[in-house]
Amino acid sequence: MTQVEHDHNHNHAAPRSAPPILELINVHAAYGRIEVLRGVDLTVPRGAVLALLGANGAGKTTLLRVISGLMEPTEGDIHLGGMHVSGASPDALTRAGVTMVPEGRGVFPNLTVEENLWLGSYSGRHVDKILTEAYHRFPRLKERRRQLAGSLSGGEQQMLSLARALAADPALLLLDELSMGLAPLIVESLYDRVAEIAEQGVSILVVEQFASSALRVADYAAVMHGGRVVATGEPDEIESVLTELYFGGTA
Amino acid sequence: MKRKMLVLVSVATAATLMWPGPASGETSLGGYTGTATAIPIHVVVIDPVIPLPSDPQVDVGVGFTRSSVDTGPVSRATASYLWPGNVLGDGFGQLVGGDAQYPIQVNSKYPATDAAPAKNLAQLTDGNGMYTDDNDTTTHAKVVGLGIAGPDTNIFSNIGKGLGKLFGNKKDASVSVPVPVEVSRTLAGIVTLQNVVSESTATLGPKTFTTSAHATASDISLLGGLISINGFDMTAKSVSDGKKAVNTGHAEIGGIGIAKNLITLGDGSINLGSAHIKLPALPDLLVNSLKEIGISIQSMQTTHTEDGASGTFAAQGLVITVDTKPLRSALNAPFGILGQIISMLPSNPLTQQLSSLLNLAPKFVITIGDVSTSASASPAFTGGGFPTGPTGGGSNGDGGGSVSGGGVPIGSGSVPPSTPGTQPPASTPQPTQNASLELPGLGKIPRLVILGALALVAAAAWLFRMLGGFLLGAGRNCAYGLSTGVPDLRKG
Repeated sequence: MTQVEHDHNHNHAAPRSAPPILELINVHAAYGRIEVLRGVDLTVPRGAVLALLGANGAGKTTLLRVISGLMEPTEGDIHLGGMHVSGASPDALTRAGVTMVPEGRGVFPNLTVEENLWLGSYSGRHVDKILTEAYHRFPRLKERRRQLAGSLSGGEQQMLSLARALAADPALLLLDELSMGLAPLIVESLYDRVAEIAEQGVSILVVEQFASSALRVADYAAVMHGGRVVATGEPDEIESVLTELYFGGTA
Repeated sequence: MKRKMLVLVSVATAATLMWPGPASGETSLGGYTGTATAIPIHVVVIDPVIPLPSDPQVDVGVGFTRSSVDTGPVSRATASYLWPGNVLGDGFGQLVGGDAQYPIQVNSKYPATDAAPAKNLAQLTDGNGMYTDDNDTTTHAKVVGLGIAGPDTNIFSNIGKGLGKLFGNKKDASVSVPVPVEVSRTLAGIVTLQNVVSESTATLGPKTFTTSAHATASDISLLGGLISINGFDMTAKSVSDGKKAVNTGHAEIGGIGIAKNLITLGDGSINLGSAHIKLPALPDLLVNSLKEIGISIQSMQTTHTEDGASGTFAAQGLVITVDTKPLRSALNAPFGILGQIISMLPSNPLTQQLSSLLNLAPKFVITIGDVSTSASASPAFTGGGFPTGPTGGGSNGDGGGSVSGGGVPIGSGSVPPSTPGTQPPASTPQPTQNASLELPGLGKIPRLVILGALALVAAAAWLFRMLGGFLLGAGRNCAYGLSTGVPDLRKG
């Protein structure tokens, strides 16, 4: 995936011998009559971090909803680990190892931090192990473990959301707008954790409006515009594409 | 890889062939849940000013036992000489922080844990303490006590030295002389009593699930001796065989004394039965006199439901409600009715005992003999469809039976098996079941049949997986020739 592409041709950068963890081919999706995804082609190699960037309304969140099974594509193919999964249910995909951290965090505000983490044990993992890992990765959550999730700060809620997603032992982690509403320092800290998670072999597709943090930890990046992937490549290549897209060629 | 699979299949086959089959003592019930609770004396203080996150604000059970069982079995037995209510007793750690546990209790669990071993006890002297034991068939909690006395213990310590010996689950008797547990003046002002026995049991039998509760005590003195009760004995029992639940109970309460003057009702005692048995009326003079000083007495309250295979039963012997406002006024009025009552007390320093008590709360409720049981079970699947026995809408009959020996049986009319775990008596209507549809026990099925069935199931599972994959692919194959289905991405 070293070639910067400015069209919506297929982006099969992963070695063909090992199937990529996620492959989207000409995926279309619509809300009623309004078509939001207009033929998305994207590949996430196994163990890689791919940053999916784009302006508000480009279709990034819709794409994550389609990948996680929350929304059915109207056309196209979704492959996970070399198998055709288009139309699979969200719970089947979660069991398969696809976990999403939704935009807005999605924590249960009236449950405590610990109770939110317990929900991760529905994946079948032992709750003690889940808590140990979560508190090791996010010591702040241990301090707040008896506190209602709704009373946490935005950054702490995002930590909790991330920790709960990791409780399911994901192989492919989908992160939607991790930085939304957070201070830059908190965002940097969260992306440091994302980098650590990636080092453990978890494949990550991170959707962001604010590119710099995501590109810092990404192996590859893609840009969405108007419901299509208009460019893919390595982070430094994509930065110039972004400049062109957003500022018409001026840095 | 193939060799590994071959080894795994061989081991699985050998394990299946050598599988010993179910133990003969196992229950035939498919699922079950129930709880038995016994509290000889239950004191509840209702005062919103007290800063505790519970309602009522103070809840004290003297001689509390509870046994609960759920399908598994997963069970817990709890015994506490002085139980501060479930909010504080079970949630002590959350309230005070850390992993602290309310100290005056012993627990047993099945499966056992370090904190709740299969057998547990803490006792002051031999036979005087808290006991629990729990295994896969019986969950049992018991408190036996020589009573609660009211010496001049330090009111600020709140818990007397006798009770203190029960802290920390001390397993050896360190006191050789049997003495009643000493408690604070405040608690002793509310209640003292002797010969407490509280016992709750949940038993999983071959064909029935039974919960039973028993509470008894004697020489009960309430409100610094203002009210005394000779003794009481309460039992409650719920039995479910998976098709029908039956509740029974028994209550016996001795004479009530006001200011040391024993008031006898009935045959030397007050016999309290279930709701449909008319109680002997308390004398108007007594009722009105007590009402004037803010004390009301309600006798024998029972509630029970039998809904198919689920039964619940709760009985309270005497419920004494004390409104402290008129009592406080009466206490301060030298010539009021309480003054007259006090003057009848030969030596009891009632005023002193009650003065600290009355600063406590606007209202407290003392329940003498609080027992409750619940049992619900469902039959195991027999291959013959659902059980054809009576279902739902069970009678709420108040049962009855004859009064004997001063005690009254309460609950539904039919009598459950007297021994936990035994079959219901022949008179109990047995639901009809088509014998030809019954499957033999697992241990009696030839191993090869089991293996054959497992192979069939595996083949069916494979077919369904393929079918599922086809359906997941919205009925079409992948245009790129990939197989359809949901992989386990973690296997890499």
